[in-house]
Amino acid sequence: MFLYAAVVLPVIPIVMWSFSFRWAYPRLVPEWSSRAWDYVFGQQNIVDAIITSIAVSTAVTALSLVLGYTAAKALGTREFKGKTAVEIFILLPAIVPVISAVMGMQGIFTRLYLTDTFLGVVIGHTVFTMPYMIMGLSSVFRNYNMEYEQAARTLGADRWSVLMEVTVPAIFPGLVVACLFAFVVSWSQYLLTLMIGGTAVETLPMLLFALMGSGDYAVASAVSIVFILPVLILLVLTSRFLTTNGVASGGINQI
Amino acid sequence: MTFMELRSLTKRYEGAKTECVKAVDLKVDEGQIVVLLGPSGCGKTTTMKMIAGLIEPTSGDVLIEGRSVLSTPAEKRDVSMVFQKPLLFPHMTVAQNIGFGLKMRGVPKDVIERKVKEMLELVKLEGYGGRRANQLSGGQEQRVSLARALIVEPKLLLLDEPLSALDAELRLEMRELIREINRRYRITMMFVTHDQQEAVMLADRIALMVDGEIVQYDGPSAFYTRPRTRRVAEFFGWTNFVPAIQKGRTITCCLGEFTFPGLEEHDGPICLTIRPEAAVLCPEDQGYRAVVRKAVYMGTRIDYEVECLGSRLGISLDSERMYEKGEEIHIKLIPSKIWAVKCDGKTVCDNRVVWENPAPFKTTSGGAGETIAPSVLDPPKLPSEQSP
Repeated sequence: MFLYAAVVLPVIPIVMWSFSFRWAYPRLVPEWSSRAWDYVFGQQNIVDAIITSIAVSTAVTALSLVLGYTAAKALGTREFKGKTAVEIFILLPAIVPVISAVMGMQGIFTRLYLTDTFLGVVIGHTVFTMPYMIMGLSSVFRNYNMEYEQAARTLGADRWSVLMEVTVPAIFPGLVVACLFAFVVSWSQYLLTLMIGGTAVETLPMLLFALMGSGDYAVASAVSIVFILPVLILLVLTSRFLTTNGVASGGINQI
Repeated sequence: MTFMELRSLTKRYEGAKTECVKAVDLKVDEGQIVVLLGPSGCGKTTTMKMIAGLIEPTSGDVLIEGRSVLSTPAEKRDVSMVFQKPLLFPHMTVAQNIGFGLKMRGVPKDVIERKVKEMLELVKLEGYGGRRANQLSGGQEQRVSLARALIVEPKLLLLDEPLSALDAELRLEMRELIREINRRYRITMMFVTHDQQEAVMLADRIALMVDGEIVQYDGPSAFYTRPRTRRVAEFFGWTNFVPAIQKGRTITCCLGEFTFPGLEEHDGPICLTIRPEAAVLCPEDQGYRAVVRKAVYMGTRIDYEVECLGSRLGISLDSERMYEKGEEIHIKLIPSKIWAVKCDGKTVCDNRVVWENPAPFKTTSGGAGETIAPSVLDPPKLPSEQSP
């Protein structure tokens, strides 16, 4: 309950701000106006930024899923020497602050002609979403019995069929959660996008920071809401999907 | 006709000091059930998975119908496997689970539907097709798993302890079902278990595996009449091992001299082994004198530990009354339940039954505290002479 309050309460003034014309000191409620929202939806660059943000985060999620899947499976299902060291190594991007890595990354990316490109931003984000993807997926694989795949193979399923017909459906709830994590991490990335994307790739956080700096709280609040909303919707949808789906299929917990 | 053959099949896992499966040679005839029996961790499952193509052997070969299948991936070997756990795909219905193998082979939907129905009938689960795996009981799940493996009409069906998670009654039912399927479809099966009772009930032949090696491959009855080594004998309930000396086919020990016509000729130390049910009560003048040291009521029979000619024997008698500790009885040994085994490298073998309190016992004839030693008594008659 307290946690709920901690999340919801700060949002209330933001919502109020976004519908205000002005909110000067002695007033308890602002002077209402839809000025900020008109501005937000009137601005082409905001709509563009939303599209860019969705594109970047989706691409990052897909890329980290493809790259992280095998690593996560190995970590979750096998025991090998130096496993802990590998796990720490994989966690590094989540531990090391973005700012300390981003300078070096920018140098390397410049030499590779990846700065100011969509691809560069996606690769940069992926570095920092990988720990969430790998750790999320590997914990799913830890409860997963590899013999499901062996059973499927003796029944005549080739590797691709095993993946699509057996593994993915079995780990689907966990897969969705890991993807969501990666998506959110990428979605809220600011510094990295700024340093590598420059002005060429303008995502929502970049615009948000710019508007914050401009001092127009009403517009900044409106953009903040636009920024939070998609993630919130995703979260609600997946949690509902996971509970209904999880109960109906029994998930993989019955192993 | 040999259907499947293993040629010095070996597996050493990465980083392991010893081989998990050591140069296993095995021939399986068509239509037979061969049971791979052994204590847990002896390499049975690894052997099975190598046959199925799920584990790559370190060396050796797997031949099916005379051809090596090592280069064939698991999904193309036509070898299906039933695992210890039912492993039903949780996101599919029972019917989808059973039909999975046919779907993978691109069989048309209506054919799959028909065959799934047949399979459900075979495993006596008509009407369960629409259920989910978690709506079934353990026995039902394993039956679905069996149907799922059978529907693809495999050349060879591997069963890896499929019944070990079920309760006794269900296990019996499932064994009969497996036996029936084997007879009806003439399908060659390999069955892994650590339960010798189960092995004996199911098998045409049993391959006993200990520490990655097959120590004996024979028909079930051979394990009860002619075990090859002490380990084999122990596994099949031979409880007494008496040190002896073999010369030709004759064995001498403290119980006397025994001749086994079927025994391999050999000179040197050996173990005489006696099944607990080898002993029967007999009149005083015909058998060994034995003194009861311990008696345990087992319901249909009574298990005794007796001291007989300086040797400690564990026997199981069908006696009308329970003999008390210290009481004297007379027993003879049934020749078909005695055998001689190699001692697995051990030159000395003693009786497994160890006295908690090895005090001398009283005899009815002798004085107090007299210990009966083999030299004191007349040599007993040969068991072969005693038999009717």
